[in-house]
Amino acid sequence: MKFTCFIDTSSYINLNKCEYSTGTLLHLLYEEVTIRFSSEVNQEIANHYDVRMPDELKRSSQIYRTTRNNISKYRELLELNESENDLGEKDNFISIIDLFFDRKIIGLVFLTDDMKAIERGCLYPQIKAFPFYRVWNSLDVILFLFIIKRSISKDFALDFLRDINRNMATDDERMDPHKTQERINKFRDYARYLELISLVKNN
Amino acid sequence: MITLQKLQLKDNPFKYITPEPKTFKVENPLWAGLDDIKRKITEIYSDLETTDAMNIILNWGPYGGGKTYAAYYFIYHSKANAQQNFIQIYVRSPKEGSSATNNLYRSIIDYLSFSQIKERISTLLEKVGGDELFKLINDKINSEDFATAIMLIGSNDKEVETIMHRYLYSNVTKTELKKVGLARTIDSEIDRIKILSGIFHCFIGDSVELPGRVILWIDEVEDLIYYSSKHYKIFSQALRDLVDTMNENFCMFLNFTLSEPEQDTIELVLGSALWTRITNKIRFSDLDKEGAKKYVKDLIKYYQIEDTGDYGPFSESAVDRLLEIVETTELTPREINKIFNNVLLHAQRNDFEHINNPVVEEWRSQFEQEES
Repeated sequence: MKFTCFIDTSSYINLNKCEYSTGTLLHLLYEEVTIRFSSEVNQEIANHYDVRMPDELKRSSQIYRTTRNNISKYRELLELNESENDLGEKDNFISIIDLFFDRKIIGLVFLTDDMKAIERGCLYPQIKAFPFYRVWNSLDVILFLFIIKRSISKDFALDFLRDINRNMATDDERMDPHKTQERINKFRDYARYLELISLVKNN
Repeated sequence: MITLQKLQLKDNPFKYITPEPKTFKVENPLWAGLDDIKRKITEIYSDLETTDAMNIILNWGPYGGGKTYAAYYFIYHSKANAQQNFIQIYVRSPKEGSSATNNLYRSIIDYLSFSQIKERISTLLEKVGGDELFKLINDKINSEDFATAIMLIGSNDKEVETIMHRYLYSNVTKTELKKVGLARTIDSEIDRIKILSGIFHCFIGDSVELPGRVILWIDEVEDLIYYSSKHYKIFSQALRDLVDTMNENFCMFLNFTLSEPEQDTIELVLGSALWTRITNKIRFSDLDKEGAKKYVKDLIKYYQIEDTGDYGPFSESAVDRLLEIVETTELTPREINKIFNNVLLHAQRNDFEHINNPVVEEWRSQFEQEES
């Protein structure tokens, strides 16, 4: 059984930037999980299209369309504001809720690199209300791929963590020492998680 | 508005929250508090005078803790104290990983200046002769082409000088290369490190003729966190190659800002190969209460018109109170300067000749009102 992963634009782009073998980390993720995203995210991806990404035709099969209610109704129910900002994250959030309530699918993942939206932005505190999905960022994707793919060594995984951490840093418009310390702490934390996973994998 | 002179001060001791270069170009630049750190770095500089060892020093600690200040202080202080055979360089870690080695190389060349490099090589050529100088450089960098190029920098021919100036910045044509008899330009990271190493060895000399020491301060090394893994490996390899080709009479300080007290994190960011080459680690911790008071006292004393032996125009209890306020954030020189500067300006605006607890509390309530 595969995880079903609702991926937003930020993570889609960051994973696509990391090359691995003949593809990218995004391709690896496509192999290991079922990828889904809202129509809004698909449009955002199209606006940032890169030739290494899956094309329009392939992506169209990953678009999730809500069944129980339409998007507007969900926005009203979930008290998500009408602003044009973060539409991709909001619609992905709506999609993951719709999917669970419609089909009771487990193994759901909400994947975003926009921590602002999750921790103190447009999806807070609603994101905490529904305990049937996990929230990942692209660093978690590296840990996941390290766990399930033998071809990814610890050294490779550490390199990917460094690359993704760097990509996430360039997404953040702040350029100040606190941001630098945040990125250092993030890298440190995930390197430790990698070490823990490695210990379990090897014993 | 009351003047600083009325407060018995020559200038505002707390006005700078980042090091200001002009304040170091005096006979006795200020060093306030942080006695242990000053002692440790002074010992390193003393060792450099008497031994030929190589040192790689990691200075690490929180933002605003005094690392950059230490670099400026020791660079200017040792110049002022006639350690003329020390060549000191201050650069910041490149922000962009993609051309990091090239940027570091150019920053170092810019800091040294072509004219200073040329003068040094010309002097060495006169003292030891071409053959000896070639041998000195080539033995260290294992490149006849680059050893020849470095020697040409010392040429008195104007045309050669112009070409070699551009050569250092990889900006020469094939015709110009041919004119000076060189087979190749500076292309790769390895090339740049060899050139830097060769130039550094010219400043070091041969320990008999014009013996020298090279001290390189690289600030903001924590910015390596912004490099991709590919660029980080290239840059880290370049630094290791530089260290490995220097081996003696060379000291490199790496300033790393880290708010947590865990060295493992620094090793992770720098990489184990560079980490294992570090010979000393100096921690710029947050100040304790006593250290903070000493810092404030030394700072104020430096700027008092007459040394009163106290904290004037601040009362000691006002200093204690303000340090309690700073402690709620981080007790670093930068945070201390910010708060004390604000209070001093408040006193000036309101014509207070003495800054005691009521003045501090008045400032605090006004400050909190503005914040909310």
